[in-house]
Amino acid sequence: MNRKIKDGLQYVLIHSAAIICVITLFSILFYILKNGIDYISLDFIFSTYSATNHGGGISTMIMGTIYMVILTLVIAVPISILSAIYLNEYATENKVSALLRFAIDGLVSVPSIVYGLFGFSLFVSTLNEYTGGYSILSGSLTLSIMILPILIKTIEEALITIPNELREASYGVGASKVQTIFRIVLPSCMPSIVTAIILGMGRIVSESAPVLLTAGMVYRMPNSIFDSSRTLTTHLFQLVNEGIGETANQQAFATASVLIIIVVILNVSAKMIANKLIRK
Amino acid sequence: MKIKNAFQVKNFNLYYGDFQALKNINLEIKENKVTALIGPSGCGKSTFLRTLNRMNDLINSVKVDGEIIFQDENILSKEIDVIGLRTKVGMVFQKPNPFPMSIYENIVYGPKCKGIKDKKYLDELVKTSLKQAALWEEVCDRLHKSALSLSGGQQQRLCIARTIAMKPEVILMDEPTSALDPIATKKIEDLIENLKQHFTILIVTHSMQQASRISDETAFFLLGEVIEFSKTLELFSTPKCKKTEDYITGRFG
Repeated sequence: MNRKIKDGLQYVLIHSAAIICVITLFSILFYILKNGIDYISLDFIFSTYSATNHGGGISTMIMGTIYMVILTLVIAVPISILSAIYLNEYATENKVSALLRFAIDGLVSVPSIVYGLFGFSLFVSTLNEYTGGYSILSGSLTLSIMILPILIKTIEEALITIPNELREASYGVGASKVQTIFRIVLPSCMPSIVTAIILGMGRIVSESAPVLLTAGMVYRMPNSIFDSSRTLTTHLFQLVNEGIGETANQQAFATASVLIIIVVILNVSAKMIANKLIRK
Repeated sequence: MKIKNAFQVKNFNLYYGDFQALKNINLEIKENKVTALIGPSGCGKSTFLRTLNRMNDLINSVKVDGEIIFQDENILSKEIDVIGLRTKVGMVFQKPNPFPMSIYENIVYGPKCKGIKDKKYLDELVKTSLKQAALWEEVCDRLHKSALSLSGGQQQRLCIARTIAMKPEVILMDEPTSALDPIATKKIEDLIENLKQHFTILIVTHSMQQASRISDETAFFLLGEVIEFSKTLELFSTPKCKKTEDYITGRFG
């Protein structure tokens, strides 16, 4: 009898935990979309923001976000793939790799505002001449440093899962080390690498503090990577923070809705692409 | 006609760190013969096999001394072109390990790494290699399907075809049938019988029946030493050494 009660109690506990989790998630989504969706229109997405009447659309912020995502990935992805290869294929156990692993583990848990401070003093202030001060480039460099540890870790874990037999098979038919890595090992863990990249994109899109400190707040359409630019998140921050204008609140919810939709699309496509690559 | 040696092994020693895994090995491996390496687990036969195409280079702690002469060169020397050596001395592994690509891509991978791009040549190479590995009939209509969709036995024959496609002189086989069922094993053994006309074959095997069925010469390894090396028929019928006799009659191992 006693055991039956315990069993039933556990059942209730476990299920209610799961239900609480699902309810919280969906109520946030529902609340934001409910408040934001009405304000979203083609005009809101494709027109530019105007500070004179504190209204207009978010097209420049969408462009700013896209610039930021692309440039950050262009910088971070090659470095992280090569570092992961170094760690797993070349220097599995030496002092350099031990130091690198230590650094990666430490950097993963550094708060993003600290990256922002670092990026501000290095890229915005010290390297002002080369980065254009507050600019997409400064922002991307900062975000690259921020997502490097996660990317390296995920890619390295993917490389570890590739069985040694596959590498031996490649060496066995006279392939060089570089050929083995780039033609056999990397393609074999492509699904994990693509997933890592897309999840990294999610982080870039949703980050605000370091972007605020390095890319600035200019809401005009950026002409080059040396221009300052507002992203969706920093725009959202500005709208809520200042709250100027009648529709500031609605605009904030609408911007948040667009952000959520982008992140959901990124996550779903990460899963779909990974599944497709695995099946192949 | 005088039979030439494929490998001439002289005073060969191999160490894993401080542990000496192979002790003073002297062997003459004959060309176009099947040589079987037998012995209990951990006796060093696989390690020895992997020395012949420098596969042990992948393990950091391995040190070697002595000489192994292949085509007038000491393959243990630092100056040797290891990649060139591996194209001449191919290898088939214990577990079938096709690349996760199509059957066609698996076979042309090695030649492509060497820089061969001629599509016509590659198409022909795929056909002849698969035919030589007795796999062509079974896969000719699905060359562009994933190699992982093949059965274990077919995968292993694909791995043999992949090795043949490099046109090697020697094929090393490290217990190639230990992961296969008896019917697939029979097919591989028949294949080895045919292949020895073109290649020198060294095969590590746990099965003494297999060694006696397919090999011309047999080396018996024990605790890192070659105890006996002679014609397979002689080794199994009239072993000279007491330890060999104990092993082949199943008293240990």
